Amino acid sequence: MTLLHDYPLPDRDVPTAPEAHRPPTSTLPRRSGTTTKGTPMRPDRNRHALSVLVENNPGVLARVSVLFARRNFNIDHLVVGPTEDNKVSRMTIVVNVNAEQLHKVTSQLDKLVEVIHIQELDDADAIRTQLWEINDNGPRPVGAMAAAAF
Amino acid sequence: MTATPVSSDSITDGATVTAPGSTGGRSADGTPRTGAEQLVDTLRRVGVEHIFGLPGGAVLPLYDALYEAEGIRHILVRHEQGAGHAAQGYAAATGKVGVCLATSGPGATNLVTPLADANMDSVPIVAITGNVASTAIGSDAFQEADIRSISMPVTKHSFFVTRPDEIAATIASAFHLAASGRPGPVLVDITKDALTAHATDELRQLPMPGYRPASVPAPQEVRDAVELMLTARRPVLYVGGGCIRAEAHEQVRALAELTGMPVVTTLMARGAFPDSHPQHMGMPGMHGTVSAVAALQKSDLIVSLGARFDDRVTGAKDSFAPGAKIVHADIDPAEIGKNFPTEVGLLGDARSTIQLLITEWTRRTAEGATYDYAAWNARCRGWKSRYPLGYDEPSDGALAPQYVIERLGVLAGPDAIFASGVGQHQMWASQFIGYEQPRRWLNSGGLGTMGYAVPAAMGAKVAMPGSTVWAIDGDGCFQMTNQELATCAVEGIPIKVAIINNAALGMVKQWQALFYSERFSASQLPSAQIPDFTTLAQAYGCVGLRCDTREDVDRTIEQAMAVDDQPVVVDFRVSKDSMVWPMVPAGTSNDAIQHARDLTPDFGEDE
Ligand SMILES: Cc1ncc(C[n+]2csc(CCOP(=O)(O)OP(=O)(O)O)c2C)c(N)n1
Ligand SMILES: [Mg+2]
Repeated sequence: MTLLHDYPLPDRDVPTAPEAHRPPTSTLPRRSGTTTKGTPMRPDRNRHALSVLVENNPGVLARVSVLFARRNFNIDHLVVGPTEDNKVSRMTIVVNVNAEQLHKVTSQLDKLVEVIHIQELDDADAIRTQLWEINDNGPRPVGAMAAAAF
Repeated sequence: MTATPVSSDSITDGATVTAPGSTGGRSADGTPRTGAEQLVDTLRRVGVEHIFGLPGGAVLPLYDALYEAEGIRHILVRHEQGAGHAAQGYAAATGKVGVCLATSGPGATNLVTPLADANMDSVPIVAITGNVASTAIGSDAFQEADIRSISMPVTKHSFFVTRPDEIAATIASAFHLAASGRPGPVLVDITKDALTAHATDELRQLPMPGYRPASVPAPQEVRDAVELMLTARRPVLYVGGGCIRAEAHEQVRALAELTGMPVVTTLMARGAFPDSHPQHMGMPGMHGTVSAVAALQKSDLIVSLGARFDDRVTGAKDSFAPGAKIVHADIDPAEIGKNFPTEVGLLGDARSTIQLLITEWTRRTAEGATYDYAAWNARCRGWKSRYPLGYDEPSDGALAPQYVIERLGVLAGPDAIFASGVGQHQMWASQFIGYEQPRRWLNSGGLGTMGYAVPAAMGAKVAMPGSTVWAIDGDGCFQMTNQELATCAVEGIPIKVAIINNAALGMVKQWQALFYSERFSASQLPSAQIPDFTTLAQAYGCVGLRCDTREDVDRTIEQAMAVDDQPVVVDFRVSKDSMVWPMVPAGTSNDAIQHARDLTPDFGEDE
């Protein structure tokens, strides 16, 4: 993988990436202290954040993401971390779906044997903004990468 | 979501400990036990009597522990897919958990199709696979495959065990998971070193705090459902495979007779309500009866009992039963409201749910509540008598496949078990055999797996040695798994196979005839010449018979019925051009059902 340096320029024409995904100045990974962010945050009533307690078993992340893939749901953000109980992990999952779809995906999720508890979190937009801040680092998606993403 | 916040210390054991625990790590005389020995002990404890499997390097320790293991019969199959479907047939015929066993890598991946099949049709099976030693996991070792991950989307759950101490508890938990709640396949993948090492074994059952299968619906929901049933004018009981899995057939009948509502049984529920019953409108769906399709389509209330509104039943969703409210009873919360908005959801086991409906209905009617379905029932009976199932004799004088299947049903009788493949013959076997009892009709409904019939029949025969078991198979399907005839011949499992040989992948050909201008791309088979099914059967140590004419059908079936010490294969050479009717063309509305080619029934005026 070549993600640690700039992407080479594509040798043929590729669709132009939306402005939002253009790096403001350079394609180098942003250093701390930079204030410009790639995408403005818009409130979205189809944005939901779930806090999911799962058994801390190997493979549990794969199982949860396979479920989203299988039911044709796209995950916007996903964070996994430990809890005070070393047998239990917490996943915070942000999805862009309407309420009905959310109900469907959570009922499927709830059936997973390793999923212990699911709760919807109140401020999905704020959570997503914070996750974006944490995750918005590294090289910018330009050229072929950005094209592939759309 | 009904979830409430919990702290981690309030997370308790969500599993009901019904499966026995383990052996305590030592045998009676105090010698330490290996993981493999503990596994066999646990199988015995949870009541396993039969295993279908095929060995290989990674499971050698387990096969050694099985060698001469008392009380467990291992049946050596010829292909792991056969082991999986045999476990399914075993489970579907009895309700017991079926067990299959395979080695790592290709052995395990060969189980994927039966796992997916069992997942779709909610069949309780446990698949045990060996894997390479834990020290080699992740190194692309010889015959290493990550079957735990591969099977994730097609199992109820899958375990990967690397420590001998966890084997007994995991196996016990796997059986509990497979059989409880909505039944399904569970895979346990165990590394070879865990099988060979000595276990100290402190775990009795895995905690599984997240596993809480539903039990009975809330009383308010039951009251609401009965209220809707009483006020409905055109209700229908839509009975699905859940009523078979939950042993709810008696309750279904009691509810039907108590209320007088018309009943439809899905492909998965054939036999959950007697076909001969006057309230039975038949099977709904793409190849269902006109009366069953019309009863759903024109209803004002659908009481769904363990069914899941599959697209093969509903046709185009936007025009399915436009006037109907839905009461949906299911053990799986994710099914309720999955495909259609539901008025009342009844979350729980079908048997206890229906029992509660019966009690509430009885209470309400005793208090004087009235209902009136007379006009509706008359209308349903009208459809049933005006549009019965039927078929045309082939114009070329060839044998009608429907006739063969009809005679098989009559001559084998209501106690026989039928397992079918997938295709035209499957639809005819569902349509033209009368099912009076549950667990007599085994088929691959959700996944539609060609090759299911022969191994599933084998599994059913092992479970029910006293019953006649017929596989009704297509010439295409049969060629996918007929190697298990060798297993049947060698192991003394005298199943009977009726090949409905139309020299075609007939269902594919039918679609091409109807929707692709008769361009029969890759759907014709030379099955009248290759293979020669009768000599193939003989090569496998079975009796091979052939029948081409109507006059010979009964005699041939009787000849096959007379053999009970050997498997029998009958090659019924039938018309190449017969089609399955009625039919709702894929993607169209149920209203567009044709009871015969280009003939659309008249449902009559709405009230
Ligand atoms: C494993 C698998 N492959 C392909 C299909 C698609 N398919 C459905 S029915 C059918 C034809 C089956 O032919 P045959 O067994 O001869 O039955 P017939 O329809 O002729 O009765 C095919 C190819 C399938 N269901 N399963
Ligand atoms: Mg055929």
